Parts: sequence; C-alpha cells; structure tokens
Amino acid sequence: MEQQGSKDRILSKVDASRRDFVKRVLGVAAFAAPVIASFSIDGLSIESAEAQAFPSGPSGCAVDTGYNGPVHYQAQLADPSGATGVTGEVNFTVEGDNARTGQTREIDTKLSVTKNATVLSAYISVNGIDVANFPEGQGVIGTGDVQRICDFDALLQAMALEQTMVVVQGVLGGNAFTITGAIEPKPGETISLGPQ
Amino acid sequence: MTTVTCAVDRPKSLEGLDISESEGGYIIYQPDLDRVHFLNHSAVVILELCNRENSIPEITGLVQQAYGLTEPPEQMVAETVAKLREQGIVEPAD
Repeated sequence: MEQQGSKDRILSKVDASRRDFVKRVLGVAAFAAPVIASFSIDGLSIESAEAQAFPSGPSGCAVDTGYNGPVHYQAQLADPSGATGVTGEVNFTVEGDNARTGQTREIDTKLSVTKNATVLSAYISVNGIDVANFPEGQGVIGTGDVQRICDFDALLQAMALEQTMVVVQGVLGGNAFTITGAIEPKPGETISLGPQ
Repeated sequence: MTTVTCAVDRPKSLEGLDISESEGGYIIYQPDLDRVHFLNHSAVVILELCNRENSIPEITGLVQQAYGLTEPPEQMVAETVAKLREQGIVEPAD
C-alpha cells in the first residue's frame, strides 16, 4: 500500500508527456545503482559513469550457467534529438559451439549507417554504460572484449532480456551525430543455445 | 540569542530539457553545451523527483518506498543529485 502510494505520488509530479514512461519504469524495473553517463558530443568520448553496468566481483556476479536465448539480434538506429537525419542498422549474430558445450565464443557484428557518414565510435550499452565496442562494417565482439560488466555471458543475458542499446557517434558533413537504438531479437527468433 | 535558519535544499531540474525516452532510460541532449547524457531507470526516477517540492531526504524516502527497499538509499540519491547538478541537468543549490 505504502509502495503504491509512493509511486502514485511520484507519477503525480511527472510531466504528463513522460508519465507513461515513468510508470513503466516504476512498474517493471528493480532499483539499481543510478547511472549518469555524460558525453561531450564534440569530443565524442565517454567522460563519466557513476557505477558499473553490473556489479563486479565474485559476490556481485551471477553464477554462469551458460546462455539460452536468441542467436540473431538487430537494432535500428536513429537520432533521438531529431537534429540530424542520420540512421543506421546493426545486426548481431551470437556464434559458438553452443549445441555441444552451451558456451558462446563471440558476437559477429555488422553496422551500416547513412551514406557518407563517418563512424567514430560504436558500442553496446547497458544502463547507459559502454560495455562493448565494435567497428563500422563487419566486426567481432569476443569474450575478452566486454568491460564494466561481469563477463561475456552477462552481456548476452542483458541482450536476451532486451536491456541493451547501441550508441553510434560520428560525423556527417562536418556535424557530429549520435544515433541510438534498442537491441532486439530478430522477429521469430526462437533458437535455443544450450543449458539455461 | 541568534537564530540560524538553514534553507532546505529542494533540487529542481532545469526547464526545457531535451529529454528522449529510450529502452534504458532517458537520453538528455544539451546541444548548446555539446553534451548528451544517458540516465538509467533509477536516475530517471530521481531526476523526476527533482521538482523543487522534495528535499533530498524526501526523495530518498520516496525512492525507498517506491522500490520497497529495506534501507534508505541516502548516499546514492545524494550522489546522483550532485552529479545531475554537476552536469547542468538540475539547478545549482541555492
């Protein structure tokens, strides 16, 4: 009762245009360490982060039980500010000998953006934190390429739970841009990768 | 006898912030400052409570109750508000 009352009080003060979003946030998300990641658009570099995307250390990481989830993901990218018309698309394919061992080895990436746009950085974010970088065109995220997160499987689990985003920064015609998009399993993706 | 009155700190987010909702939280653009900020869900709730009506202890209490936390997240709320101020998303303290 008290919990619902607090949520109602919070929602009553939220701008009407954002109330539905905040209601969803309060309804589905557990409280995690607040994260504010700030970038200089000009410098195109991450400058600060309040906390790790996931806690690290033996006590903070879930026991790795292998990965069971979709193999193919995609993200449609757009400029949320509307300041530029730059768009992009990323396709991810989870690779590995999963059927035999339940272990994944890498994520193949394929990033394309608006013609003539130059990509300066591209990464997967969890809770606003850069956890894995990848290049324009074709690339690979290996097990040793994840950062600020427990491990490679934690990234895969976050992707399966649709808690990840892609952030791409670059320039087009001398102007900096940032395009983002949620990572989602490709429609109809039901392939299972091993023990859960 | 001298009476000292301390103003209560009631943070308030800046007017006219360019806020976009995303799967992971808010993306806030400050093109005039060449800045972009990503806030996760917990930071979103704290930002929304920065409305000049709540003191930091009150924000802490609301967050604790809303999420059913056993302990008040005093330090996290205080640090988040400080960070929001540092980044120019919340007005400076009076």
